[in-house]
Order: sequence, then C-alpha cells, then structure tokens
Amino acid sequence: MLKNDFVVGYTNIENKKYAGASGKHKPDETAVDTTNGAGPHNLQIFVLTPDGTIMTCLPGYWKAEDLAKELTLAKQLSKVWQDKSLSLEEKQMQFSQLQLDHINSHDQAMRGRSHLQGFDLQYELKNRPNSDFFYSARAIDPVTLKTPPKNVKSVDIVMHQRLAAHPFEPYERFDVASYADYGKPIYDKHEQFLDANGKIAEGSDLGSAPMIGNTPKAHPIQTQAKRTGSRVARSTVNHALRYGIRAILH
Amino acid sequence: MTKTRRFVISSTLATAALVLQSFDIGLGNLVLGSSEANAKAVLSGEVCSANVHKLTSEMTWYKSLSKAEADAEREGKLVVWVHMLGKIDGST
Repeated sequence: MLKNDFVVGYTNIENKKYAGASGKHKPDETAVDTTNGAGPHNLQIFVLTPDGTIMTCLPGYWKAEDLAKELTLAKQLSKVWQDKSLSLEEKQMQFSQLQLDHINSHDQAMRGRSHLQGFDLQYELKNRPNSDFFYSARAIDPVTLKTPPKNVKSVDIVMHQRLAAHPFEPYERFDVASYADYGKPIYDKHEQFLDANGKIAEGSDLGSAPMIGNTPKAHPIQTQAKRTGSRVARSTVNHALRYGIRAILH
Repeated sequence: MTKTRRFVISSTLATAALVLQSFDIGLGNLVLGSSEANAKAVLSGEVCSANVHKLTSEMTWYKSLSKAEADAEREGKLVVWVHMLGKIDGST
C-alpha cells in the first residue's frame, strides 16, 4: 500500500526545539519492537494531501498493521477534503467525526498494542495529572501517584481525540510540539548493548552510548555555547544592578 | 503499578516494518533470533540492516516536502511525511 498509494519523504528533526532525545543507533544495530505511540517526541508520521493539508498524524512508533488502518482512514479523509459539494465547515465536522468514530473500530488487540509505556505513564501521572490520557484526574492518588488501569486511555484513543480538534489543518500551522507532547522527552534504551534475550549484555559501558536529539550529550559544543552565553548575560545584569549602567559601559 | 519492560525504539525499524508489511513480507520470513519468543522481542543488527536496505532501496524517500507534494499531485497520491531523529538510511 505504501509503495503504490503514497509518496514518501522525511525530515530530520534532531535540531528542532520540540524534538526529544534518544540513544543514537546505526542501521545495523540491534532493535526491538515496542508499543504504538512510543517515542512521540522523536517520531511523527504525517499523511498530507498534495496541498499540504493534514489528514492524520501518528505520534511515535506504530506497528505496520495498525499504521495501515490509519493510512486507509487518511485516504477516506482525503476524499472528504476534495469533495467540492461540501462547505469547509461540513468538511471539518466530518473530519472530526470520522476521527472519533475510528476509535470504535479499534479492536481490543490494537488497544493492547497501544498502551502507554510504563515510564511514560509514570511521567504523565507525576507531571500532568490533568492529562487527556486520564478519564478522571480525581481517580489519581496524589500521594502514591497510582490510578486504576481503566482510568488510562491508550494512545490510539488520545491520538484521534487530539486530531479531531484540528480538522484539516495546514501542515505549516500545525503545533507538532503540543500534539506530540506526552511521556518522557528522553529515551535511552541502550539497544546496541542488548543480547538476543533483550537484556543488557554484561560489561556494557552504557555511559559511552552516543545520543541524538535535544540532549547535551548529543550537542556538547552548542550546549557549552548556550551555557557560556547565559553566564555572560547573568554576570552583566548583576554588574549593572550593583554598580549602575555606566559600570558596564566602561 | 506493575513495572513493565522497557522496550527500545528504532524509528528506522518502525518505518522498515511498515514497508515490509506493505510488501506482504512478514518479519517471520527473516532470521530473527534463537527462539520465536526472543525473535519477536529483539531484532538482530543483520535483520535491521536488511530491513533498512529494503526500505530505502525500493522506495524513493523525498527530503523536500514541496517536491513530494508536487509529485503526489501529479500521481494522484497522498504524502507520507515522516519527522524523525536522524537519517532514514543512517543513524537514528
């Protein structure tokens, strides 16, 4: 389907402010499967019409069979977008309804493949108790930060709910940072140190692993320049406050 | 809250898996590991490399969105535009 029905492309977001960070991995290094929606800050898959309108945006990793279902929805949405008999308002209403209806088409197996990673759930519980990943913030114990599993939505549900609020939005205006913001911003799975059983091999030097994205370990020169700059700015302001403006002009 | 295993993420692998599925080639046709259970959990570097090669050699990956959109318009297709850390055929 991908090869026959779509034109594909990509852009490297490692220097974008909204990007997360991850261990850096070569194509010939070990990897493992994961859940739908994992790594949302590091990977976003858009489907656009040729005029740059968003049909869908999948945050993070998606299993092929589930991605295929979403691509099929995107094709359906593109027909709505191109239907000249509909007004813009009608199109937007249909977009939102189709996104929400698609949730009901997801079977239990797909929901099971789309649960939040445990550390992402903990991050949301700790930092965003009012997150849209929870049906009720009141069902979160503020002391233990625990909540019943039934209070937690799977990523496929949240994805469609968030998309429904952005019907047929132009790609250039889409707030990717907000849309893909959930869970931990940094992933470091040490894939290259995994053995065949998925465990980190004994003696691995985890600290030596290269990183990519928004982390000082990936951009040591840029990070140092930023730190130096802020130190100079703070020093200048403090000097001005203490000795007056003339002091910093001479 | 039950502690869950932390699975690794490879954006390149994710897209490679997508393409292979589209080609009706399941991961079971490839050499994966010492046991079926392990094979589903961990993919060797050789498998990943083969997946990436197939992904990048059998499809043209645009780096310009405007060019992708223009060709999609001409061919009557939609655009799949991926934001990712790194390069589709390199480190991610």
